[in-house]
Amino acid sequence: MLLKLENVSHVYMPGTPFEVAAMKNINLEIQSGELLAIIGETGSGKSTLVQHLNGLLKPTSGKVILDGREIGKDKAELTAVRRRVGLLFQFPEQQLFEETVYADVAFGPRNLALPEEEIKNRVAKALQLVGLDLAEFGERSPFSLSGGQMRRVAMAGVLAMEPEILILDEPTAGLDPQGKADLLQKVVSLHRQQGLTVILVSHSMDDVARVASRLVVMADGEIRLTGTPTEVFTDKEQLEEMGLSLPQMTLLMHRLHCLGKDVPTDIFTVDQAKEAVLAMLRGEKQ
Amino acid sequence: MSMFKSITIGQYVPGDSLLHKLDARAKFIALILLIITVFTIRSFTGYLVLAAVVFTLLKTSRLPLPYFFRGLRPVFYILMFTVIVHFFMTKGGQTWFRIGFLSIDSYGVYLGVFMALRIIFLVVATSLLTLTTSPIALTDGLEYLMKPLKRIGVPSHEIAMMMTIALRFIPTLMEEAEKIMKAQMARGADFESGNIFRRAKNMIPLLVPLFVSAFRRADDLAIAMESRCYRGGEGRTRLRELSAAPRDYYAILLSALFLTTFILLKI
Repeated sequence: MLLKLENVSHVYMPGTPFEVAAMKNINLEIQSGELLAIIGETGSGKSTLVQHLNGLLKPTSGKVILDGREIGKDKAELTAVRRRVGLLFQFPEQQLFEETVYADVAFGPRNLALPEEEIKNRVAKALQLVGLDLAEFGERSPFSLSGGQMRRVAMAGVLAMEPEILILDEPTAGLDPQGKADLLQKVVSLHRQQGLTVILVSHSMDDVARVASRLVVMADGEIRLTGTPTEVFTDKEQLEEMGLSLPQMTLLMHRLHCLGKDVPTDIFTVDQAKEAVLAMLRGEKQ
Repeated sequence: MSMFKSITIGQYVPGDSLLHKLDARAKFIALILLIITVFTIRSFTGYLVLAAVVFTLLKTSRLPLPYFFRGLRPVFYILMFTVIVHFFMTKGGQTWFRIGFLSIDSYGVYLGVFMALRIIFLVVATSLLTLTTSPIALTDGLEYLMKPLKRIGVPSHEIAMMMTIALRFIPTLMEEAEKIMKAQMARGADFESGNIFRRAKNMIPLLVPLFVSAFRRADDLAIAMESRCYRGGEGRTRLRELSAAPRDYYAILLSALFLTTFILLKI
């Protein structure tokens, strides 16, 4: 066990007419080495939840525990927590501020007061992980880059902190299909090759289903469903009730299944679907 | 870290009380009369009467009281400053207290408390207006009241439009500031410790992205307005027409009477 939420609730602006309960009594355990996806509609509380995981928000009630120690109890430990738990916000390219890409990526390591040599290594490594070359991009202004490149620089900025847990809030929002696929591919390889624990936040099943090992579905500040993608997607009706839909290919397989065709329904990607349909057609021929 | 969300001073709270229903122009004029009243009052008796009136208005507005008073918290420091400066700097009357070169005189105490009351009433009265009037109604009312100034070359429509836009973007920018702040804190930025110079320098990672996005938003808005053929106030009709009801005239009349009474009674 790595990260644990115990009966966590969060209320924004308590005691005012604008009071909102964004999280209601959430219990969740996140294991080391997991690739977890948190899914829910806008306003379901998923962004609020992840901001508790590195102490940016304090629970109104309940506890957030990282490796047996409660987050936020000791303020001096917060920097250490934020080093271990990296959080990349939605549209992270908006947080870039330095004159050069190098300086921006180095911002995090600098705050950790690392020696210059180590900072340089980390920046080079982080940029390489997101597929940018230090020699080519290092001295350029982040504001001269394309949207997709800016986002990757922002991601490198978090990776340079060398976190053990990487949280990505809607990382693919606003990217074109190719950019989306590339970014998810990067995340998966980070998870596999660097052994990072990854938490993906999204409102889209299509994006996360194919990469996540476990899904947590949120609605109205509560966790409604949790389990492997296959387990979660069997509950099609409840998902639709929460304003979420199955991945398109899973939906297709469900429809075919309803028509009496012999196909598996635990399919999330076009490639899998292709194989399944071909297998089905072959089966019908015989 | 929701520090920006806790600033509630003057933020509109929707409702359907009498104060909410009054026309923004009437409320504006009444507020101006009330402010003049605050400045004409010369005695504590006068403030007592005013306090009763303002409290009645507050009750009529049906605003949640704890929320109302919490919104006034930021003013507290200005109050303390005023009181302390007057206590030690204004001389006259009896000397009540003396340590070394510092002394507190009776006149200083009197003036300090008096000024503090003035500030409190000004803030309470003004927030009564902004808490019960939507920003749109507020600027519409202001534009109407500024119309006569157009003759002498004051661009009243443009001013009102600028105010509407500014008010509209305050919450947006605050939200954004908070988001950027959190994003930088997630990268280990520290906005809370160090001396004033260090803190100012630490604000750069917040201010640069905030300015960049504010300019980008301004650009987008300009294009959006232009593409919908916005070209200034001339001949422009409104979505919400301002309409004055008898109660609006009564409100103005009442505040005028109130002011005259104070002037005549000299309290």
